[in-house]
Amino acid sequence: MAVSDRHFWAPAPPAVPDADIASAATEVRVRLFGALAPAGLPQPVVLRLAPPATVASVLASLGRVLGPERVTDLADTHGRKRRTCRLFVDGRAVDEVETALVPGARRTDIEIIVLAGIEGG
Amino acid sequence: MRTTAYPSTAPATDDDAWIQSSCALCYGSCSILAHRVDGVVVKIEGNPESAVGKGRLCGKGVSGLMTHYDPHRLKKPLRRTNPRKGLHEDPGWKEISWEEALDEIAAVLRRLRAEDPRKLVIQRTTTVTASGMPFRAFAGAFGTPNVSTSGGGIHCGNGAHLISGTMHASWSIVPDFAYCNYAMYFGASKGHAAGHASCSNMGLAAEARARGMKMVVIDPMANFAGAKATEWVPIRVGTDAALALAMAHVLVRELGACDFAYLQAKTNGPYLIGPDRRYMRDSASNRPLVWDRSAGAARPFSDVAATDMALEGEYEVGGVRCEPAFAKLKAHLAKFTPEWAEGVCTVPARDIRRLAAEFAAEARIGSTITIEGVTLPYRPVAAIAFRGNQGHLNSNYNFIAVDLLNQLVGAADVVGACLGFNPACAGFPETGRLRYVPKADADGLMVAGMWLGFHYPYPPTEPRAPQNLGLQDLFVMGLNSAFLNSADQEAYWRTFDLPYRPEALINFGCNLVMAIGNAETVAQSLQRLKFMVSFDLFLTETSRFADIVLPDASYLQMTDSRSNFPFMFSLPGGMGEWCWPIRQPVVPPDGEQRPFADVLLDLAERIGIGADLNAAYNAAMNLEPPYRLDPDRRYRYEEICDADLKNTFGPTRGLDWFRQHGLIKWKKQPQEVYWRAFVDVRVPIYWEYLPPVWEAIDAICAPRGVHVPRAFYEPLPDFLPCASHRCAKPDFDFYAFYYRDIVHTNSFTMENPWLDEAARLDPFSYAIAINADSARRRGLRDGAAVWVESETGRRVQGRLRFTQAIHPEGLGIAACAGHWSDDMPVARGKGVFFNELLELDFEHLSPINLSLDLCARVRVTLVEEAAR
Ligand code: SF4
Repeated sequence: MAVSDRHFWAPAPPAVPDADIASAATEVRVRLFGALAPAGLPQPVVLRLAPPATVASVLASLGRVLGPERVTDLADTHGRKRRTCRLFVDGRAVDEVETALVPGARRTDIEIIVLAGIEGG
Repeated sequence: MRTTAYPSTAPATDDDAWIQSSCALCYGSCSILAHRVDGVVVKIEGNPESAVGKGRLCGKGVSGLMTHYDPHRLKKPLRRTNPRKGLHEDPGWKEISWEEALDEIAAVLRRLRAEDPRKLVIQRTTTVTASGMPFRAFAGAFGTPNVSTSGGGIHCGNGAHLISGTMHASWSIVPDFAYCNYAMYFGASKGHAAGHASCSNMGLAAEARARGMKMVVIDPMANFAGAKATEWVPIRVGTDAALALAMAHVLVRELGACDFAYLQAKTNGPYLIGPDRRYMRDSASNRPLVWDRSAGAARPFSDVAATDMALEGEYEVGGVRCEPAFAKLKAHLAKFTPEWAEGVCTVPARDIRRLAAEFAAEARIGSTITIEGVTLPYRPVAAIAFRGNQGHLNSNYNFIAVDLLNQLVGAADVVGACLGFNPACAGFPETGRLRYVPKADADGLMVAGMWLGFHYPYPPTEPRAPQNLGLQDLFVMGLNSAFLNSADQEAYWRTFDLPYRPEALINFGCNLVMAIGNAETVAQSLQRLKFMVSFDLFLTETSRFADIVLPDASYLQMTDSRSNFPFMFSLPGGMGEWCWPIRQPVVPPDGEQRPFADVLLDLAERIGIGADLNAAYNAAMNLEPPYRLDPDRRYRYEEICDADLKNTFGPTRGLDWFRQHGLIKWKKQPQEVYWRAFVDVRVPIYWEYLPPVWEAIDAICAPRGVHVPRAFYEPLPDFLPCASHRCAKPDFDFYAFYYRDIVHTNSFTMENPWLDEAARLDPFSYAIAINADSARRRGLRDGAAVWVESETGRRVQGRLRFTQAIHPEGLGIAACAGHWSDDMPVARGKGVFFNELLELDFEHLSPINLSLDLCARVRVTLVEEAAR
């Protein structure tokens, strides 16, 4: 049996946060689209998250804004982001809810939309 | 209004050009060269520069210009004047302007979006693969989860895609034609002018057979794959699991022919299973435990060298008796003897043993081969399956059982073996984009690196009380769902307190009333809708239910940046090249025809969801800065395609570059194609997570009185009969089934005159294939007109064609024929409408993956007798 040769597929090393700003709150501006953006919801939704802010904390805070029905479109009962929930932090797709937001005073822009899960053929 | 200006690609004179583009006569999307002379497309050939088709076209592809130039092509939007809708109601079409049409549609959609966007359903044909992206984006922007892919979707892939995705991180599976020496086809046509990577696989399969690859086709009928086979094994319809499990029995229990090193390193075979049928887990890390033979103790799988993991034996861990998953499988297989299987599937026990022994011998377990300097495992056997295998109630186990053969001998994504279509890509070298690879979850099981939608095959989504009309958010192992059109949809929606009902349908090119099941049931579901709009090339039986019909541009008149992505759908597997072709207009739209993607952008603006649609494209195409669409800017679809291409291939390779070059390609590396050896992931041979999925579903269903049979969610596969196997009515002694005719794509191409002519020359395309001996015993005559009647009383008429190349109990009907609409004069009255025999209700759906049961137990009666 051939053995693992991990370097070919090795993921990029994770970014190391700057220790000086790691304790500051993060301002997050969330723009919601599609089913997540009912008429009348002021946009963007502005959240101030205490460190360590992660995508999970964004989803949890949004849950309080959107209400329980919409939250099930974002995450399951264990807080895991649904695959159909597409979330972009500063324009980059993020799948893992443990992903840390860049800490500090700098503003973070997030866009979220739910896409249909199903395809065929 | 957003308008699209079409460049004059067709000067009136001195025009003689070959345009590189992509076919769309089926979902294969082969690369084409379209020859245009004086503004007229005169010929279509395969593009030899492309890996997608490899310069070949099938009969449908070369005939595409007859669909494009169909004299019945729509040129103006139509509105019905007759409010009554029915299978035989004349809609009373009246031509209207695009302004009127889009205003009327937008008014309905604005209201629905304000009330509840889920009231909108979107159905699209699978034929135009590239339509997935614009409709996925539109549905996301609008806010409806209710999308479906019509008959091609419901019939084809609920089992095949989910299991291929779980086991091979790909949409489908195929033999590694360049190196495979022994391929078993269980109800699959890969390499025989249908299916994914159709034309590429045709060439690869032909070369493999010429090289000496033995091809064993297990199928109720020896048609396109069977005709090329070394051996055809006739099997009773829908019983593939019985044969495959008996072969697994022989491999494991009689021959001991397993790749134990593979099972240790690449499957969950070593994971310890407790008496509750769940993994034994490490209390600290929660990781599944294995028995470490060196340490003589149970340890988390991630801490133990694969070679030290026990596959057999009984152990005690913390006072609990447990066994490795492989031992459980081995014990489970005891009952599936070849003698038992013969009684179910009719394949003689001695043949089952012979086939298993051949498969084991040809697998060359333990061997390696060096390709381009890289030494790799070599297992030149493959057991593949597709629609014929999985279009049954037992869909899931049928497919799992077949793939188990590959897993047992280690023939999965290594040289010569069963391959997924390109599950791992190191990315386009210049930008690093398109990089994807399967990865392991916390249990070490494989999660696909790329998928066609967002309903990943593993890990399963958590079931919830359904919010989707198709109930796939409850039946989470399902993809497409018949509940969008089923006879019992209202009963189930009420049972689950679904807070809304569908009111409007956007249909893209589907002929739903023919493509799903019996026409009456589908028609009733369409009649219940308040509004329907249909994008069509020409009118069909289904357009008759529309309130507004929009004249679509054909594939020779439109642009698409990703006619063949993702690669795990239709780029051929195996060594060769990565290839990204585009679709571009060869001629401009005629009359007021408009490409659907631009119409959707226009509609979005009228509805007030332009920003949402841009965001949805960003999300669906994974556009990154600086190519992300600005939510507050308006775009034409060509601009979006330009952004998509630059996002992937860099700033100099936008739409203009691709218009000139047609495609881009680069070489595959052995580490990509044979990724399994390099990526530390495992796949299940013991489906530990299925019983909990059933428990979660049952917790929602049982209190509402809905019985979901547990037997479909067991950790180890079984043979479970279809409704047709349980029929005990006298005289109902045939199993009717349909098969893909290579000259037709579903119901769509029946209107193409060249393909119609080819089908009329084929003795079987428009007839009912019946075993000559069986037929004579029943007093039936070759060529006789007969009624084929299902046990529920539905019936179709056709003419018999005698053959020896069909199972004695089989009744084979080609494609989706039997059109009745005046709007399709070429197709009308030709062939047999098999789907009329299919019931559309929960009883006929797989209770695990919602696959529709595509076989029917039938009685065959001479028309003249029935008349008496
Ligand atoms: S296989 Fe499909 S895509 Fe390829 S040429 Fe034939 S019809 Fe066109």
